[in-house]
Amino acid sequence: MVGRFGAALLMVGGRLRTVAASAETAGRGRVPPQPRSPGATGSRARSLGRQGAQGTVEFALVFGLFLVMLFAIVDAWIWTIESNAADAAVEQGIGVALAAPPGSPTSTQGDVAGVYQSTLPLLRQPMFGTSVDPWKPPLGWPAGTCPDSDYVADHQGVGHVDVCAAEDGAGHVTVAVSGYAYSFIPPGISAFTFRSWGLPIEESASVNAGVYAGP
Amino acid sequence: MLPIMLTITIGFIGVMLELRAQTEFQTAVDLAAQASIVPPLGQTQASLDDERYAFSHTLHTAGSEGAFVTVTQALACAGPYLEGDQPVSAQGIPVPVTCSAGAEIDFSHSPIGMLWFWKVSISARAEVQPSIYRGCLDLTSGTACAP
Repeated sequence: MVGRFGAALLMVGGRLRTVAASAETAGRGRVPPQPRSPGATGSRARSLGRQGAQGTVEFALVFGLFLVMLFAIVDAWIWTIESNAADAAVEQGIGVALAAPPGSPTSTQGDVAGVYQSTLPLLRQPMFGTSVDPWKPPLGWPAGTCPDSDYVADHQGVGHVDVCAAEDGAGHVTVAVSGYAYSFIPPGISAFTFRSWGLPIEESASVNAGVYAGP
Repeated sequence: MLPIMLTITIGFIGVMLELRAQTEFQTAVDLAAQASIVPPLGQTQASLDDERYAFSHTLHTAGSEGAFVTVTQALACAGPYLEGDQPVSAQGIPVPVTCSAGAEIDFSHSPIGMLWFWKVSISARAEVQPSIYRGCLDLTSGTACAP
């Protein structure tokens, strides 16, 4: 920080010295003033104007690139926080699903319903405006499976994440967090991989939870 | 100026992806360790199957950050519980089951590889303590033994 500040000061100081030196040179009259025609003065003014316009365009280009890179960094940072939160929620959800439901310590079924109570409050806070809801499977949805992030975005839009806990009937419990969280990605770039204004959040885990109490 | 900005941006995104890959890998090992003590005491093959199932269904190598991860050291879990024994320490705590695995993160097939051209080695380790009641599970009735 101090180094950059010092370098900036040196740059400003250097420019001031240059300006002062040229003023001094002009004042001493070492270079005798030459008679100039009105046409030459107009040409110099036009040249200065062109330089100013060029500088503005260059600044706009560099500043635009700077903004793109700044937003890319902020996006990557927020996405990491959100994905880590989804990861933690999935891990906690699996822990709950591995336990027997309340009141039935010898049940062969995992506590799937308990997953939502445990993970939803944990996940809502760090999602930066993206809504989090329990997954409600439509009629005919295959048992034991959870939707991917594209399916959730197709049906509920960007800025929405679903928590899903499903059991396939053979003892396998899957917990997933999927959807698209808000981001700074504009429509032009989204054509490559992502959706406009969204980045995918997709974390899931599956364990065998059905054998522990069985004979 | 532009190369510096590009380096900072790619470097930062690379660090974030590496963090994500490492977290996901650690989660996979954590869940594998948890899954290994789900089968009753002494069911070694069931424990082995469950820990492998949990590991492979948590680490998604087709995902955004998981795509950069290659497992180099396969998951290995060890502990007396997995061999049918459940000794306890002097404090009455069961001896834990320990799982570990290793992997490499490789960005060379992505634009981040322009800066991150080397492979990053990661490892994860997890310890779980089996419940004492599992050692007393009556396999014929499916109920816990009476104290």
